[in-house]
Amino acid sequence: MLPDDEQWQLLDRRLAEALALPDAARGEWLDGLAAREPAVAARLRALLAALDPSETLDGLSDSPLFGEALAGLPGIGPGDTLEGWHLVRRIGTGGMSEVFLAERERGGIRHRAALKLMATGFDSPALRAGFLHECRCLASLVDARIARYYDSGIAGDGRPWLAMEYIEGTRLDAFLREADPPLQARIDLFLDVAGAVAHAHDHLIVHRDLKPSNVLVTAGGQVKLIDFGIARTLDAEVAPGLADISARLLTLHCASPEQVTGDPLGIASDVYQLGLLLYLVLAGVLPHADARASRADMVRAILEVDPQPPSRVLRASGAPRALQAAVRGDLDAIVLKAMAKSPGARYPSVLALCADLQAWRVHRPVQARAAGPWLRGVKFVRRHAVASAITATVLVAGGVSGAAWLDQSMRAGREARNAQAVLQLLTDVLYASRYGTDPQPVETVDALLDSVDAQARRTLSAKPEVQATTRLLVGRARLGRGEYRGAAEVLRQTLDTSGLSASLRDEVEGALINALHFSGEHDEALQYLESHRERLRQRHGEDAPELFGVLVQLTDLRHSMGDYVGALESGQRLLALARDAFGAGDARTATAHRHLGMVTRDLGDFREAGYHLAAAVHIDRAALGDRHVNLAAGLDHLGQLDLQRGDLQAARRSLEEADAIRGALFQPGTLSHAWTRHRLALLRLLEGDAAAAVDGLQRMLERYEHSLGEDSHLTAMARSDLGWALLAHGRRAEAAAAFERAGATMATLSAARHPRHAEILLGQAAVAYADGDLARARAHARLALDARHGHTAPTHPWSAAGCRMLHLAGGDCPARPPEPADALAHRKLELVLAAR
Amino acid sequence: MDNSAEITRLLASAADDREQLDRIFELVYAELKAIAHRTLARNAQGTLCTTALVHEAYARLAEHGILDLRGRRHFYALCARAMRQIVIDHARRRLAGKRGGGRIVLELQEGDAIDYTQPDVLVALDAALDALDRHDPRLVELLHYRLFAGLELSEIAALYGLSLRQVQRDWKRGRIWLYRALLPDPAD
Repeated sequence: MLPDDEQWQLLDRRLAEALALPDAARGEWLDGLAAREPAVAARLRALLAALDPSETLDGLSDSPLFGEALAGLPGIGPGDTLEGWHLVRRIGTGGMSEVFLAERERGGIRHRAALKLMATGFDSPALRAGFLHECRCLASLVDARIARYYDSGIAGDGRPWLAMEYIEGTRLDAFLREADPPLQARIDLFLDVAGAVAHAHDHLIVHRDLKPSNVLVTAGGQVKLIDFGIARTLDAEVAPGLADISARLLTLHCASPEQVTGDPLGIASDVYQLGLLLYLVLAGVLPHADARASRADMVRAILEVDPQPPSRVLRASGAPRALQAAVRGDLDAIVLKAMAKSPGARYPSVLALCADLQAWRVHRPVQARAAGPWLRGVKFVRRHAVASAITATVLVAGGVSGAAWLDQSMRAGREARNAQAVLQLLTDVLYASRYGTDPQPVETVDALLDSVDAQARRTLSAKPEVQATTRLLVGRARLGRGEYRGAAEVLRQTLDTSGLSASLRDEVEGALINALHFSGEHDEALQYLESHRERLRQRHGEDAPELFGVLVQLTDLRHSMGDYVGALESGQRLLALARDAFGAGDARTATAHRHLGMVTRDLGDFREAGYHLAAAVHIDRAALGDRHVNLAAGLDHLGQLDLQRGDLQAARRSLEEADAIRGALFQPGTLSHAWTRHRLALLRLLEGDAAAAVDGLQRMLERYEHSLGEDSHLTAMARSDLGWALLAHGRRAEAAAAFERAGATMATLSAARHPRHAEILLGQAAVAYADGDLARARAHARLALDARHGHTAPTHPWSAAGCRMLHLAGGDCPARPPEPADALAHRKLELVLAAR
Repeated sequence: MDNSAEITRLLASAADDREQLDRIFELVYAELKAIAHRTLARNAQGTLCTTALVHEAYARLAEHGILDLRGRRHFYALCARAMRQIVIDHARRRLAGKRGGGRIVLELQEGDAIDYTQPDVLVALDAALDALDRHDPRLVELLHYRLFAGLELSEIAALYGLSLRQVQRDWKRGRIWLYRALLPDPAD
């Protein structure tokens, strides 16, 4: 019993004074007090004597009685039954719920379920109704990757419960730790999870609580998403109150920023949490792991701190370098985009996230890095640069009129290394910290290359070598795509960069010459080529091995220009140089043979051409194996020669082998394939299937137009071939239009006197002849013969065909050459005449 | 309804409004109960530690926002009050089973040691605290933190912005008065 208040006040004041004194001084103080107020002092002594160090007040709250009291609070547990579901045992606890293994018997069959009992109940009828509505929505989710919903209800104490499919599986994080699957398998696993969430979104249900413990992996490897318990239908009108509630039922370290701030949750929140799971899948840990100690820090981290890219976590944890490298870049960017703080900056849908992962798998540019045209550039170049440069080069090398060439056997490796180095450079120097910037969609590769080039100019002016190397890469990519004019422009500018090393200058100039060559700027190309050749001569001496490349280009350019005689001269010089410098069995010697074969073929010396092309194929097969692009190029030329000679069987053999090699080396739809298929279509024509030839040539023409543009002489020649096939198919008007268009293109090129213009003119003569306009037929046949005159041997089959046409139309050739009955030119004309 | 968010919201908005705190009390009570259930579910042995329970409850609040000092003081006070109610109710039930209920009279003499963890003492302590509360409610609140919420004296000092020594003195003073209150009325 306590004293009355007046007494108490007095004693309490004295007690406080006494306790404020050090223990040692208290006795003396009490003695002093006893002298003045003996009664008070006596009572104080009694009070202070009660301070028993062994008393149990200090640890009272941890005494067993407290534990008992808490345990004795009423609740629902094993042994209880909820609407037929018998609770067998507790199997876990969620943030705000307990989960029981439950069983129910129905019709003699025992069902098992994971019954989730919420820790607290709904106290308003509206909330209960909302909960039950939500459960009905969950019932609509049927997906092997999502635990099935069975039943739900509200327990007697007002707590809602849900019965779901009982899954025996391992939590995602534990599974990753124990099974340690390789990267691809991890991504597959994640795509399954994301697919399940996307399925739910299709049903207007968001999960809102995606976290490792809600993703189970069964023994069979099947992903099972559990715990849509706090999911909410996207159709938010139904139960707005419920949304509010579920926002709070979250696990903090897996919460999205909008969950932490209590903002409305939607698809974006699931995208964020999927990003979190992807993070776990890649890095093995969740982000902000270090901040988990304090909840306040955690909240701050979720709202303000950008997580480390997963690759950096891998690096820190000493993961294999290959894994770090595979995750660095795209995968990092995908995760970080999914986990952007602002919902609007994330993927707009789970499917978009999945699409980006799929893009990553096939090395396509990912949206997450669309920020930099740079990044897309790297992707593009990585996929295409070397392959497309090779492709275009080979196409052109075996081209209809012959064209520039790059010595693949010499250059491919160096080029690949070079490209690699530049890409590394670009990656490191320029895009290292560009995650998450506002994506600027780059619609076309052209635009992409433009931006890469612009950026190189802007940001790399202090590093002229790097800038020039980068721009050289852009130029080569353009070359590879057949954007010759654009390539020439950027390479011209690059050549003007001061401070370039001689070797880099040579490389740029070499590419520029090709660009000019293909874009029809033959004279300018020739100028560069001459000066380039002169420099090399002075540096290395006449016919030094270093002149090999420039001689190849010169032969090629002269051939393209229709200067077959000049091409023959440089081709012979080239072959001599290669034999001396590299030996008869070297792939470079094969290249010389190939060029010489191409030139002699077009000169009409089929015997010589046959020797060189067979030599090229033979050497390449021995030196480079059966699957090399150079071999395919040689076979193409050989096939074309056989077509011209009229040996269709041999042509088919060569062309089919070339086609198979290209099929093995290049992706479908590239120009490389078009080249061989173009020849194969001509073969069909000669075999008499004009319809198939028209069909094939039309497709090839589209490919050329797409890749090379309308102005290319290659496109024009393909159109001419189509004209012939159309004519053979009896489609005269279409053929006339095709010749017209092809002729217009050729007329804009190199002085309009290209030898192969003759084929178009002869086609026009055949159209006029079929129309019965003999005067016009004669005029075109004469023009055709003129076009050949001085460029090819008078015995060339095309000249013979020209003479025959002229003769048919009532004109006469001064020296009528013999007509080789099997030659392509003759056969074509025969077919056309027959179709009339 | 999830309690912690509501508790946080109310604590953040409440002035020291008695009525509001009473409402929050109901929520805190339910929350502790819920956490106890979950803890038991997790822990096969079924042992519960008040201190851990209260700290978990607080941690859950912190998910919803950071409470200021006053808010934290209120929260722990409410936890202690809830725990007091839970424990005293339990002790009463225990006694009711044994003795058929009725008023508890401890047969103590000055100088006797007291085992406070016994149900009858706890029920008597409840009355003693009420008695002390009439003289010094602030001291009782302080005792509550230690007795029922299991806070360390240093934690209590931090809540009040006092030095540890000051709180230690108050703790001693409180224990003395409680002991005194449990003793029968002195004959004098």
